[in-house]
Amino acid sequence: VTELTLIEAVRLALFEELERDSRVIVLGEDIGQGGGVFRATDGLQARFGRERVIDTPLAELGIVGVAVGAAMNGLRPVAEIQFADYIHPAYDQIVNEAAKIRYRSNGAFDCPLVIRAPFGAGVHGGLYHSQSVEALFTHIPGLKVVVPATPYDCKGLLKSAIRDDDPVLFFEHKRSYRRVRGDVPADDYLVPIGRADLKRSGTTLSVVTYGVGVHQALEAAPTLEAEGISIELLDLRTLAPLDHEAIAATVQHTNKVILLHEDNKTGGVGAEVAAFIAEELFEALDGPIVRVAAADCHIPYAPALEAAIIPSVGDLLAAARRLAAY
Amino acid sequence: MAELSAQQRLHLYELMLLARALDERQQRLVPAAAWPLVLSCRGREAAQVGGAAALHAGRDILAASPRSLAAVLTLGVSPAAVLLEALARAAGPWSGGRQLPGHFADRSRRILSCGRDRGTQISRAAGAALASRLRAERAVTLCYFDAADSNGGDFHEALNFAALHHLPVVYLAEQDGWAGRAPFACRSPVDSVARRAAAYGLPAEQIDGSDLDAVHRAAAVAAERARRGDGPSLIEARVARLPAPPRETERRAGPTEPRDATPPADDPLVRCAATLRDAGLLPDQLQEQIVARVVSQVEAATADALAAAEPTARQALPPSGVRVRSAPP
Repeated sequence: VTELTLIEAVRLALFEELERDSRVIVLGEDIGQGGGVFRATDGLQARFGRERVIDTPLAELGIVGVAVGAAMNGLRPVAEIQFADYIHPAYDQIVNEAAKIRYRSNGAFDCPLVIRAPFGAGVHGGLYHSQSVEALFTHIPGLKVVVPATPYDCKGLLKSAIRDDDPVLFFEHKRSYRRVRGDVPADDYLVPIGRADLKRSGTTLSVVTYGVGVHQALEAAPTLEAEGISIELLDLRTLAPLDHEAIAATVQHTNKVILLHEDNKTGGVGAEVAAFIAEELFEALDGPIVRVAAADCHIPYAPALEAAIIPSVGDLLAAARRLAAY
Repeated sequence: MAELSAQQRLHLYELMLLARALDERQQRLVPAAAWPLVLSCRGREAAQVGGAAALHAGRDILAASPRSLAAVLTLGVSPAAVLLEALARAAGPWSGGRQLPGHFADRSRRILSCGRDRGTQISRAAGAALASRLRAERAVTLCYFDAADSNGGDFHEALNFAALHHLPVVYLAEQDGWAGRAPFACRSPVDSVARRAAAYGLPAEQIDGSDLDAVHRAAAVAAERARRGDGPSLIEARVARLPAPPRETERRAGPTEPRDATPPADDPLVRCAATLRDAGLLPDQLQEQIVARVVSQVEAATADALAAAEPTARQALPPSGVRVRSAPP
């Protein structure tokens, strides 16, 4: 067991899977010699060669289109999109090709493809290095969407994603890359896709979240505990397919729920979770479903402007106090 | 480069006739109320049969467009398969009624699943070629697309990538002089796809796509170049834009519009038949035999497809592995 950062866990998972399975390739912008802008692929090209760790032109539609073709012809590509904000040109290949291949070919073809991308705000990246794009993909049948919050989950989930026979969108919150550390075993363990994880037990209310929200909730928990508010923290880890059983279990346990994410409020993952709870768990609720999310706005550059848009620990504290008192 | 033998030329000619007959049959069979999206290979038969015949069956890969009917027949896809899919029958071997007609997918024949038209297969082909090369298979990927798709991003990003990485892929653009409902020149300031490909460093040439032997020769040379490790190339095949098959004409103009029964001179079927006759390979009696075989194949496939069951509502759900709602076990 070694203590690693989130980005080191990404690199370790890629290293282990490249070593384990000759069908795995990694491709993206400046990921080879450069090791990637966040160093997620540092040293991989030197170890596995330019045929398997491939530098591509700065052209996302082509990166994903090529990866889809390679996946249909027996490889297991891991495509890096340098920033999630740059994924939009590839949306057609992801939604119209990768997501539909198994269905449209009646199961004859599959598309074992992973698309990794750093996402999220809080690093003063401005409009084009801060977006949360996960909800755009959770809407699409045929895609799995994963967001790890801890280094342990990151390694195990990325390995599961690479071994999955269907396309997986794997979003890593970039503000967590070096700030979040945790123990990561050296062995070949997997974290299953589709399973949420109870990161903290509590009794007053549940916070259902993912990515950086997990760390915000962990930060808020002692303050609230001192006020007599005990929060239960469910880390979704996989946004599609959602772990409905785990959501139901925590809502039935605390009877109050806050849905926290850094994505915009409208049409975010919280909206889908809220709809599920309202449809299936109405009788279990002792208060309104509360969403804490970014304002429906772009993410500006200036620190004061950015902070005004994205949810803070303070926003979560205030929401928890209101809901606890309801 | 090996020229086609007399026997091969006759066989390919028969495939061209079969493709034309099946194309017309599926235009007629698809219910009149259906959205008219049976994309036609009409006028492109020589470009497709000649290109696909340059592939090593079972090893090389075809990245088809939804117009590639003649190409997939050349790789051994059956007429019954074509019509089962056209009629959206459960036994349709590519999609079982999920996709529109012409969305080919045949794993055993190495025909990649066909998606949205507009050239998405151009980057898919580069990826497939990347995989073949990594496994040192000496396999080439042949990619068909419509010349009008060279205006889209997939074309440019994929050709740039394929050239940069010397991928074993042959691009075959079918150029009928049109881009949608406008002349090609109204949608592209550059008059040929080959010139665009040359800008990315691909060897590229324009050929007469109605000349079966010329297409085969060009495709064989390009495929061999790819297998040798000398990278991608592009062939721009000028193909005939023929009058729409009867059903489309009837739908648009009504049944009273008189039809010109004279086949256009650039019709590849007419051209191929003339070449074979000039070479003394196609006496009238043989022509009749070939036509009779084609008719009987199409009739048999039609009967099979019409008799086959339609999919049930239960079959609308995804095959295993595709997410519906809850977590996998």
